[in-house]
Amino acid sequence: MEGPGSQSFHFAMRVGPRWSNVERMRTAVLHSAEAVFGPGDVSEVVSTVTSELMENAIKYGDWRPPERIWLRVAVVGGHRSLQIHVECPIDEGSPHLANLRRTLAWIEGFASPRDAYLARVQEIVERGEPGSSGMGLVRVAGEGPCRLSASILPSSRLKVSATIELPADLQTNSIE
Amino acid sequence: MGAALNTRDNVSERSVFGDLVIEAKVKAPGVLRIDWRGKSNHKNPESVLSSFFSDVTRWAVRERGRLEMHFEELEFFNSSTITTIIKYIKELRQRQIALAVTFSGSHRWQRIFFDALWVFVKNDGLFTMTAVK
Repeated sequence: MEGPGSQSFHFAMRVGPRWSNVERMRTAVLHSAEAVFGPGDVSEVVSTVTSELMENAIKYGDWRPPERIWLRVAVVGGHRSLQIHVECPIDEGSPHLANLRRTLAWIEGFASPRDAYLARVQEIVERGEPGSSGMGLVRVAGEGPCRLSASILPSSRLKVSATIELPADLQTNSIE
Repeated sequence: MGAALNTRDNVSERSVFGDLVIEAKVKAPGVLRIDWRGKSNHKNPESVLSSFFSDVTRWAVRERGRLEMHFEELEFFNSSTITTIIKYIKELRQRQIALAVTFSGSHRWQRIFFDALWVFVKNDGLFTMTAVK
């Protein structure tokens, strides 16, 4: 476990839940990651994970006015891993929260996140999109690959986190 | 895009869907090349792409043609685009329309996605995939 003092990558801000902000943040995270890790798989994965988690937050967050007007996006990392966190207001009784927990448990049931990704593609091929497919989360888990978790914070805010282990060759490239 | 694709050889028809640009061109009699460029980040890509896909399907049925889809210059797609593409490939197979996909093997997200589409590859040759650098 890396403490705050070991963070070499720290990107965090509050943004409004506008769809256009997803691409803005994806690009900002991509360029920031490229500045630290260089162009390539890690930077692409981190930016993709950020955008997928933001899309879910905007689609399924509880955006009823007047106070619930922002989501928080953070990408932090140390020597060995990066964490992407996206927070949004949530109705704790919403079907989305139950679906999110079900999807995370479903992914955990596979030997690897990549297996879960393949299985979800197969499902869509065979049965079409079964309502909310959870493809965003499955993709995040499979492409990283990364570990996903979700927690409810005070004030009914949902925090979804993804952890990506950095490949060995990049563990020494991060800025101290 | 209009009601039907331009069928003049080597004339490119450009469709813009926000940050996504798709160019379709009849590159030879009975062969429609479709290039995806930019970023597919629409909230509901199926809603904006369905009309384009319908035009492509109509063209293929009318011309008894085959399709080539090139994704190697696509910078990004979101997960909603993934499900839209899968569903369209499935529809093409059901209609017995041949599709050849080319993707970038140097982008991990493309590699992982298209690797998952091997489920569509059968002995009938209706669906083929090629990775390029």
